[in-house]
Amino acid sequence: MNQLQRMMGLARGLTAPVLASLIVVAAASLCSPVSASDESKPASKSVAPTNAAPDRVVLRSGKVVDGLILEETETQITMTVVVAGISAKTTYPKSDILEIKRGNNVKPADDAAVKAAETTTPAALEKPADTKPATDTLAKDDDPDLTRLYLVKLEGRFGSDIAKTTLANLFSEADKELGDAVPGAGTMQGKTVVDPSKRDRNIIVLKLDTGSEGRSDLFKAEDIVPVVKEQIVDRGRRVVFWIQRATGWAAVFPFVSPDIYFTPDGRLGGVSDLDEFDIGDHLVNEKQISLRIGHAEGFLIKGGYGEHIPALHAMLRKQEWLYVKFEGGKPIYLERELEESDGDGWTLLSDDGAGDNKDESALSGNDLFLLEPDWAEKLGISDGTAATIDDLAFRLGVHRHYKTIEKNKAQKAVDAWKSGIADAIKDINPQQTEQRRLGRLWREINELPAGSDFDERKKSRGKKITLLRQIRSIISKYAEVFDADGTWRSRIDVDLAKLQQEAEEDARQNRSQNSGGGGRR
Amino acid sequence: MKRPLSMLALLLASLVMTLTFAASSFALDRITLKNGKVVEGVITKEGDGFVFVDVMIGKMKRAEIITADQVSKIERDIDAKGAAAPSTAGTTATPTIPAGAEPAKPAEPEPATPPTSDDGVTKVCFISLEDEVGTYLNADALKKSVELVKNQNPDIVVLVINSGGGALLEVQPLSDYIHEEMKKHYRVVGWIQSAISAASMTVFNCEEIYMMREGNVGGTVAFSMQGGGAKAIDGEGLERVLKAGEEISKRGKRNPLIMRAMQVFGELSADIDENGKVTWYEGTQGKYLVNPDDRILTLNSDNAKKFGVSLGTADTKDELLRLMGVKEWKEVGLEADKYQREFRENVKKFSALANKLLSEFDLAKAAANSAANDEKLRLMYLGRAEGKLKELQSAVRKAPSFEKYSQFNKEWFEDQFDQLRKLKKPRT
Repeated sequence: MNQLQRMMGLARGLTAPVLASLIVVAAASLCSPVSASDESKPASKSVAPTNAAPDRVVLRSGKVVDGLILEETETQITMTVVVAGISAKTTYPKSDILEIKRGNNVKPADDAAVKAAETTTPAALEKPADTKPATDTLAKDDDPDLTRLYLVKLEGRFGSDIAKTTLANLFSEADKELGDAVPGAGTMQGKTVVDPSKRDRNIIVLKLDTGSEGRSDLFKAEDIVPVVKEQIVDRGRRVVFWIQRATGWAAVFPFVSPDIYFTPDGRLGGVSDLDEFDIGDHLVNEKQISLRIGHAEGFLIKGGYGEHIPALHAMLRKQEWLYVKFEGGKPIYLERELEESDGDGWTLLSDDGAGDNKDESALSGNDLFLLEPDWAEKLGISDGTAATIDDLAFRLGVHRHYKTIEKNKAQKAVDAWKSGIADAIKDINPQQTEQRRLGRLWREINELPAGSDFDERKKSRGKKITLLRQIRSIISKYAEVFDADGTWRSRIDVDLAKLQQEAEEDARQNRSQNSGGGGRR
Repeated sequence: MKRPLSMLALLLASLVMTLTFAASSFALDRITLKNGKVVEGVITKEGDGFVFVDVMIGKMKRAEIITADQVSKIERDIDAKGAAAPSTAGTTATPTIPAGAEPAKPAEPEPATPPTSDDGVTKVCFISLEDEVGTYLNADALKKSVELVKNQNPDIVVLVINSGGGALLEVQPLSDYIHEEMKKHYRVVGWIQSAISAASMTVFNCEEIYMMREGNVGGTVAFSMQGGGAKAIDGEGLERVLKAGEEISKRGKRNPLIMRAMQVFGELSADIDENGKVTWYEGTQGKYLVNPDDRILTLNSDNAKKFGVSLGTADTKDELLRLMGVKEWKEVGLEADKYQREFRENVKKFSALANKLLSEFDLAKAAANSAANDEKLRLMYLGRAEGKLKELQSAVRKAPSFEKYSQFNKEWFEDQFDQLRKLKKPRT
């Protein structure tokens, strides 16, 4: 990045020191109190009125809405849905609809989902004692009523162990294994989509145990998230996030899906270093913080969680207050210190972390808001809490007839990438730190003898060139993680050119000495 | 040896060049004083109780300060519209931005009446503008894109913005081209995925802005890298940047307070009436605090729409055109966007290649220098250096913005070739 570019500051092209700390600003929507909008989250919560045969509408956003279709015109449909126990009439433009299933088209297995969702609090559901999951021996794969839960665990560092290629490989392998891809039409002409008749029955569950370390990982999320979004919105793939840990900037990742569940020890949030952002003066730091918040807010809005932006702010900056109360089952947020005129019923979720409010650890106290299962569910961000895949199946309403596909090809692809990254770090890590030793190939280069005569120097140089090319090759393979802008490879190219010229010069001098009768040295 | 312009020199030059929005680029303002005197010029600064006006006397520019108690009326852009456009504050006796009142408010943007072609189908051209403003996103490349589509007579040109900012130097050329050229011929629409910093100043020239759901716009603080880190521009430089923000806001018919809150600290609040009309305040008078005094404003798609900066939110072309009120449309000028993509690809390729070629060029020159006693070898290395220089020059031609935004400009190449020619002369 040259000076001129630096003048205005780039969101992406910042160097490591520039990205020295991420912060967050509640830049815009500090208009409080903020009411959750009507277009609140997951349509998977929307169900048909009790005892009514449900119709189902699959939206392009990936949401699935069950209810009763009241009216249909050329451009829109109007249906009655039940959200959190409240019946409401809702209209959807047909341009937002992928598929409409009427009454009998909704499979009996889905009744469970409908009934489960009719209850306002998922936690209140009791798991039937006689429910047994289908297994390979209990259900055949070609069973049309069988729901497949295709479970993939995403563990490790967000942005490297979990990268754009990881996700692309994951979905590609899942397509092959589930065998449900069919040719697309319209805007998906020439591509494949998930067979509409199988969308509700082939569910990919991504179990997250990931966090980010780097301050630029927010921008890595911008490369990763669209891969999942394409699956949900364009291809009609149902992707469920099951969160054990999504910390740092990985916290924005699950918001791509309308289906979010937590494990009992799950947590989301914890971008702890944004307030320490320090690349220069206060104004520039606030600029960097502000633009990052703007980007992070975009993830929530795009995923249909825009009303929870105040909660995001409290996750990102210690000084942000966050209170909540509920009206009609919906959260109302307050992003400032409570005043008497605000009335009763507020619960403090995060204070300003200043003075007496300062906690020893921002993450263990309430200086920064860390979303845990109970509040995730109360706020309507999570659809429920599940300790096991069986629990999750129950929450998803598919407990009557399902099969879990673990140890699948997608998991192998994910594990292979992670293992490749670990090996690459062992080989090419350029720095000796307390946590990491200098990579093996760099150590080998450093240990090469200088060479006392031409032959030794030639041999040593040749070996060095080979090792540098190996390093370059590894960097290229994992470029999105190690060298997205090509700077590192460019530096290696320069080193290789220098060695080449050094070799020529050495050879020339050697020839000159030989012709002078000096013999080889 | 003459080296390329130092970065500092380049930085300063660019700052000055960028921020000097020539008075002629913008319309004149007219201030009628209570004593009947009329002053015409360009209002350069408005403060609490005064305005600065640049008045031309012959070819000379003179700055005048007029206090609030002297002013009867302020009219803005008097030469742009053929008739005076009185400011909201103009009919009051104060030229300042009064607390709680509208400052020099341009008309709020609203969707234009959709133009249609002869066959009734609206022709729309989408041009993607991405990456760093300057090297990857610039007025020259945009102009070439637009020229490629001219013969297809698009009714609407949509600029699809995804940029984290870049060189301030490019802001005015982009602003001038969009405002003075493109808007004359087309309905120009900004469609934002991300428009940070210089990119936000670029898109604010568009009177119609729409955003993608993940969209963001703002974070427009101008800064330079100095010894101690990044430092926000201050003093006269800041005044010019703020002035540029104001002028661009006027071009986009947007309240300048919005851009200002993106550039410097300051409270910004707003009211929204029952018809959705937004009134902005420099302070906390409004019902909605849009930006507190210790923050820099970046708007997301929801807020941008709520406060009228964006006219709507759309993720697909169909959605966008529907919001724009266009019933039937067809996409034209695919080559315009293709050019942008190829241009960016070339810049990217060149960027990766440039350092390598420059190093190889330097290495060959150094080797020639060390072979001073072997004329044949020396000339061989000089020949290699020349070859690398030509490769570099050829690469730059494919990425012309590098001439402007890097050391590899025309003068630098001439200087390098000249040195090589001198070095090649036989030594006596």
